[in-house]
Amino acid sequence: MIDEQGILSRRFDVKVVPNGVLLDEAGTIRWAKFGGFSIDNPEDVAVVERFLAGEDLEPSPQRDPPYVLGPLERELVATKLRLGRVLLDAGRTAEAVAAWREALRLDPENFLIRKQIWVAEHPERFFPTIDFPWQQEQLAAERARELAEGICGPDGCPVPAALMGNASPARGAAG
Amino acid sequence: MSDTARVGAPFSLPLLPTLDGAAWDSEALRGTKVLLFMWGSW
Repeated sequence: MIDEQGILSRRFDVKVVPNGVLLDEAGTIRWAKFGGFSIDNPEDVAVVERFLAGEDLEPSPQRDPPYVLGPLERELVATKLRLGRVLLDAGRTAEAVAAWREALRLDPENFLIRKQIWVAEHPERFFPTIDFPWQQEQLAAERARELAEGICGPDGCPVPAALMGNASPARGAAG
Repeated sequence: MSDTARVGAPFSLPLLPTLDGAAWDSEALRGTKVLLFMWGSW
């Protein structure tokens, strides 16, 4: 399935891929691993095989998000992502990227948004092959800029002020 | 966060297109076990 609107990432509140989710015959979510799921990982394969065999599953890996956005911020991020997609489809790439950068400012640990921007701005780094060393350099440069702009602090992203005071830090809150 | 999918909760998937021109949603997947693999081409 192709999810250009990011419906799944929003529904699962994920900021990275690859992810694996197991659904039973009734459509109930039985197990999920967010970040690092791989069919090349024997442990992940073993979970899938136990699931297919109808055996009990171990608890899903614990999620450890760097922060939790509030409802308003989540809606703003989703709206800006949709706006960017409309602009991109209209051939207005620079405006699309601007909308996505606003979304990334609200959700700076969201690598789905960050990489979407990179692909739009630097397609030559992704096609025909993905330049992963470039991604590391780009990330370091952007992190430095976000630190300088106050979007991120020394303990991570985003600092509460960057979220208009409406986010709920999941950890590392300084009170 | 109320619309966030969680383990133990029912999963609802809207109609999404596939590479071969088809489209699937939650109802199309009902009745079978599914591995939902989320991946990006970057």
